[in-house]
Amino acid sequence: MTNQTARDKTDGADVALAEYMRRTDAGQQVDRGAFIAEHPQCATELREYFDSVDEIERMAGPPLASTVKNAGKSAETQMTSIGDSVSGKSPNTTVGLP
Amino acid sequence: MNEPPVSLNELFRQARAGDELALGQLCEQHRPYLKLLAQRSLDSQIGVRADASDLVQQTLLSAIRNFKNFEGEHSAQFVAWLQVIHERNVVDTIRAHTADKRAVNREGPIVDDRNQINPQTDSPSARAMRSEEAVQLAQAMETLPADQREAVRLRHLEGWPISRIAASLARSEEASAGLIKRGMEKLRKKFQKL
Repeated sequence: MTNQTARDKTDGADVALAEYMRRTDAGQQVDRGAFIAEHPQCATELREYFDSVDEIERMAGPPLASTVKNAGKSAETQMTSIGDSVSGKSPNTTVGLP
Repeated sequence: MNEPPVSLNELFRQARAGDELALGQLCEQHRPYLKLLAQRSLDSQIGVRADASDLVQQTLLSAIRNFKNFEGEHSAQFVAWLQVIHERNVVDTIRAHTADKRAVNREGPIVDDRNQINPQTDSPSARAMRSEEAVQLAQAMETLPADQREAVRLRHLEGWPISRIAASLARSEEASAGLIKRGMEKLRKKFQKL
């Protein structure tokens, strides 16, 4: 008997997805199509999940690490402005805050 | 009777024209977005006792108070403006917290810590969340059950590994993956309807 509780209840797709996440977290490049083919019993759920990921992460924007690298000096300028004044229009236009 | 929701752009336009009710609604529409930013900021500040809701409220009050000085012309600029106000609030909160600690040991030097405080995140995979679409995503996430919302947030906005998410949620990795999967499925259906 396991000590798995009701809130830990899982199905085959959950198990497969956790495996996919562990592999990508470890830095592996996992081919989604091949992974789905390895798990035919939950292919539809996995396919729908991967479609959702692309859409949701697109809405959430690019990884911060890449935007910080690209933003370079402007990000630095913005941070140093905190506490004095902040821009509402362009980096050269400032409005006071309380 | 249900009235059709007013778009962020339209609320912004009305608020710019001096409609205080529209400004209140505009700020309210950004509350879920600011909540996500506040949770992100607090995730990375271990030991700082602050409440995400308080930070959000503080940011919204500052925004309402200062909107007359806001010079942006688009709702996207409003999002960026809110983000800067929010970051300033977080820095102030962290600074107040460290000042409390410093007061215990007044011998230490006074350091300008503005560039050392990172109000963003400790995860390099975290998403930028700087667009109007991110505001819409935050609104949609508000409709998810709390456990699914948190699991989706940690995985797909903060980029946490599944092992860390499982530890944070006190669940198995498989159960955490299940929460993420079900949350993402609901979000996908929600956006398909739009």
